[in-house]
Amino acid sequence: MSILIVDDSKAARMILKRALNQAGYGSHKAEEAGNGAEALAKIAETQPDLVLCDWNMPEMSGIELLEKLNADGLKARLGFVTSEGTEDVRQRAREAGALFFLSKPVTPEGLQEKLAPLLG
Amino acid sequence: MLSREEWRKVVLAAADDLAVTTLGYEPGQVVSNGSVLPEMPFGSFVALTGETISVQIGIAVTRPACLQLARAMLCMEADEELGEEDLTDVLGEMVNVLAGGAKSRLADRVEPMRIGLPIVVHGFVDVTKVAEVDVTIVRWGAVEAQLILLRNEHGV
Repeated sequence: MSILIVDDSKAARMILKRALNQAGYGSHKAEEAGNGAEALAKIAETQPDLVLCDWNMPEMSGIELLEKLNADGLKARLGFVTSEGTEDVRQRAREAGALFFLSKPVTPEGLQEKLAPLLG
Repeated sequence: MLSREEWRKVVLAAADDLAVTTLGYEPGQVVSNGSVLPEMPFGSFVALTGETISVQIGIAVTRPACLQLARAMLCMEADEELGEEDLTDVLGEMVNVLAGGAKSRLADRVEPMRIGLPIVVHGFVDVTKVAEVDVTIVRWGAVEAQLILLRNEHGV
């Protein structure tokens, strides 16, 4: 299984990778993208099994990425991992088809709770 | 309208959350509080804005402190070095999480707010149009950081 981590912060991507390992998903192949536009290209090219995506990013935000994927008919299982966490933002994510919404700071337990139904 | 103390309390709660879950520290100890902006060898700010609210949440540290925080955040060894770009990236992510934590904690108390993208500061910040400055020095382990709140005229 492959997971694409999308975040404009390298530190955030490293933290999420570490949390994935600690949550027991270290055997999954984890790739990275630094913004929505880069992620869009990687999703089209590699079709990852799951996309873990930040919300606030330059160039193309996480929600813009998800809406673009929907508009282009690209199927991607995507969940948000972001410092955002208010209900209006969660609602917008749900309406766009996000699988889950996890607020930073990320813990392995929080990540496992979201990923277990999806990755086992 | 939230008071300066209420804003500070919310940011400190978000900072405690960050310290415990991501940095592996105990909740921070408040060393002092004031209203004078420090020189910022390494500083980062994120804006929280609403219809009437305009707040910048920031963190400022020395380079050694930034290095310690980055090592803690990235689970690196004590002697591992990091470049300037990585240090500012870590600081930006820290302040991003602080802003998100503050926004979530205030969701039921203030108007909807948007989180901006982190900006990085090296040196001094000119605050001539800012009505209120709040600087709290917190200690996480052996590291001291300055948590900064800048609220402009219509946000006070």
